[in-house]
Amino acid sequence: MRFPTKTASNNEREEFNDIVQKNVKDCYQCLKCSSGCPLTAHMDYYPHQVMLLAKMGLFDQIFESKTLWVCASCLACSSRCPRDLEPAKIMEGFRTMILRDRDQGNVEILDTRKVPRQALIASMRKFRR
Amino acid sequence: MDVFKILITGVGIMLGYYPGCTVRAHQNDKFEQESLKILELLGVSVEELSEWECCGAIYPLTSDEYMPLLSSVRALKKTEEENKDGLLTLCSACYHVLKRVNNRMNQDEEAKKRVENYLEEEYEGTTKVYHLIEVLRDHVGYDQLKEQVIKPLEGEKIASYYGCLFLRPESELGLLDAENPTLMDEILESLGAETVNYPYRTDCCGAYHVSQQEDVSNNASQKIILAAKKAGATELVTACPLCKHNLEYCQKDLQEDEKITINYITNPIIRALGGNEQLKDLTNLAN
Repeated sequence: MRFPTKTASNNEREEFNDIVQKNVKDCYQCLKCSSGCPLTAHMDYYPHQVMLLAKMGLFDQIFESKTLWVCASCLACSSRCPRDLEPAKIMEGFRTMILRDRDQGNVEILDTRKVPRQALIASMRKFRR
Repeated sequence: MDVFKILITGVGIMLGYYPGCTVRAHQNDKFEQESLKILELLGVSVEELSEWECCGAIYPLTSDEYMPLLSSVRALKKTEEENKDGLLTLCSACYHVLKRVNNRMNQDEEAKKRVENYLEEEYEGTTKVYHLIEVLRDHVGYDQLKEQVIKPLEGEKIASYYGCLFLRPESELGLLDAENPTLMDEILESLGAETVNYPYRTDCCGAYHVSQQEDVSNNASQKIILAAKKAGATELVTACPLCKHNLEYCQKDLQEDEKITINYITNPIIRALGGNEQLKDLTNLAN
């Protein structure tokens, strides 16, 4: 983790709070989210690290992280969080901020092969706009 | 004799049926036909909604988006209008989305107001959403199911994979214990099969990553397959079309002896109830 140069502006914090309606400062880093996450092998920041960055206001580092595009919202973290912070919702919040700001997400649809419609619809709605 | 059995098993509810996009599109999987056949045999009346549209496949986690709720509310409203006792889904994604949207309409005043304004009609959030396996447990019951078994699944070791969508969040879905679900195992046991306990059966299969980052979903799914195989399973059952696709697709990289058959939960039920051919005759008699 590089030493921070810039923390989130008030505007950004306000937008984030509107979307998730959670107080990330409640997180006490118990690591339950990261311990239960089935997809950590592909993440650069683990879920609890995203929570910590959010808590410190280092939004830019989260916006650049791969984690946002790996989380599949399976809610394992959300259902186990003792502070009811729903890390999956926090991830969705940051992802949505990127998607609303730019026009496109960070993922490309491979090819539509015989992937079930459910997968195509879900990934279009999660990762693109 | 068989006809008599069918007559006395009627459970007296009339459910609206919401097929969902994926189940309807994948007719070759026979999930829909098998489910409807099982329900007919067990005396649960089901009628497809006269109109429905895709539920959107994911529940919006963002608190300030209301448009993604509309299509689900329309289906829930339709169920109410057509005087059904509940809305039945087969796909766990549809179940997850419809049930959570219904909860949101009950609890979130702001969401209710905005959705109603947009649809220009009122919805009170009274529709109950059912999943196929929930109907088997709550309205049919294991005893009824056991009575109908013609060929018990003796000697089969079946692992059930639950996946994420109809387990979590437990506070909203409330169908199963999110950390230690047993519902599908109980159904399989009442069919006479031996069930297998293995780790990762509540973990995510990689979901929609299969359409953009294959390695993510393949790794997650392979972990599940290998764990089930190691625990001695000969077959793996699930209730989600996407889980089934992922678990099958990830096996392309596995050795021959590591592969395992993936079926919908309806497949072992149909087999225990006498197989497709026999059921065809039964349903004809019933009509």
